[in-house]
Amino acid sequence: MSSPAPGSVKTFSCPGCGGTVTIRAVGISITAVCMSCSSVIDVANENFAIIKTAKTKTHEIVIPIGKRGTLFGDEWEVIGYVERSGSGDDGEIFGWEEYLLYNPWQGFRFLVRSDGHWSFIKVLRKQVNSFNTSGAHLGNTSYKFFYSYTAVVRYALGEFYWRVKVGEKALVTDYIAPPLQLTCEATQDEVNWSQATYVEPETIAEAFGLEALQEPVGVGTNQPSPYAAYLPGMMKLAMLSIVLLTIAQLILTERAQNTKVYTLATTLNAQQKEQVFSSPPFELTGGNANVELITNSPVDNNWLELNASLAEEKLQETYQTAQVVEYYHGHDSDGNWTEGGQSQSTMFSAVPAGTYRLLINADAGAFTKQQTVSFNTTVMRDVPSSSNFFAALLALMLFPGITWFRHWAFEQRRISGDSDTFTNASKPLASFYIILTIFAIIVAIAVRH
Amino acid sequence: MNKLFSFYCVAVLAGFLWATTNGYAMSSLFSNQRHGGRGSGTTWIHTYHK
Repeated sequence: MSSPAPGSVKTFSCPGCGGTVTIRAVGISITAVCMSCSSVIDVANENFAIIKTAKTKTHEIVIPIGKRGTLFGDEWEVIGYVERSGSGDDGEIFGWEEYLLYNPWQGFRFLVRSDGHWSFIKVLRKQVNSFNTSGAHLGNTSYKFFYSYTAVVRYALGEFYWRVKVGEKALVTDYIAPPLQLTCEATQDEVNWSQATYVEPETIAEAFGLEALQEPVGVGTNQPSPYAAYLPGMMKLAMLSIVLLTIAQLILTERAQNTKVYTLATTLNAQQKEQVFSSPPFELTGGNANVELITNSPVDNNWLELNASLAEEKLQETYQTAQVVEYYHGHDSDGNWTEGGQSQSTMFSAVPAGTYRLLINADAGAFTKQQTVSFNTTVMRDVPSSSNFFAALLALMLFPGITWFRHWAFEQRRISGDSDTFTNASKPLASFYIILTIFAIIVAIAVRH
Repeated sequence: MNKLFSFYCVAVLAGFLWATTNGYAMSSLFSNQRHGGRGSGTTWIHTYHK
């Protein structure tokens, strides 16, 4: 007996309803489900006996049986359709659809649709290198364990190269390395491994000439993260930049003058409250550099307020500040407490070289009790500051941080299977604002140094 | 995307170098201080330090 030529088609009348049943994989398919009445027919021989009479109405399916489309360079024809459901240990029940594809020269493949996500699946002839409860290896790719569940056939239509049975169960374990997925299906009789590749719905629609397909819901099991492609490169660039930034900061700190230019140390009484004290002229050298004004005062449950001004003699430019030194402490039912401190500093940016005077007038809580207050104010030039370093550091970490967070959120949605989490446009935006707020808080802390 | 980010990194590093070598300190933005500008010290100097 000669085997049928590849691509030959055979038709016969359904013994159940008389409708036409078409066999496309002639000589290979052993089961057919009538498109008209859903009766399951044995097509392994010419008797065409009904294995199981129809109990359900035929379902409408996205890609009709007999439809052809080109995927991954080959033309495939849909010859079978199976609906299955799965339930894991956590009690979650979910469903998906499998389309059996046939190409006379390539054999069989599957297209799986789950929550609008599509995968192109090839049954593996070889065993995976290794697998356990945490992952599996095939070739050079490592797959991470994703989920294990019991799958049940709920409905079938078309023809199949195996004896399809509604209610047939299999223990399924999925391992993922998006966009790839390895699946192990174990029944009482056999164990099959298959490899899936994620396919965008638009590709499926284009391949089979379909109208717009259902929008995918949530994150597909093996859907690649849109951030995974560039996140590692972004992290490497950020790390390299941070190394360069740190080296630059160390060099600039080493080269900073950090010189004490002038110190005013004095004690004032209440009568001197309205007076302005002026320092002798002092030189600020170099080009543009920062100046830090540091005031220390031994105030004790009291305060001192200084209005200080650095005044340049030639151009009469001033750099003004109001410093409040206040320190309070005590004891209450919660124990000891303190508030404030005995030191205050002000940083002036880009102060040009020149001859300056320090002008100060002071007010203090001690003056109301006719007491004196002592303080010293020091003018520091070209002080090494870490605030620019921290600001640049955070700027370098901002976008990798946001990208990493979005990648993480994407993976969480994959794991939780929660279609609502972060899927609305407002939720990624909310996560962005949360990160931005954290960033702003860190900047605010950093710039104090 | 990463090409764009590499430009961004270069810009951040260049900005850091320019600001630091020209005496700008981020912390000054959060200090209670202001720059009076040219001539703003005239009254102070003349009144209190003749």
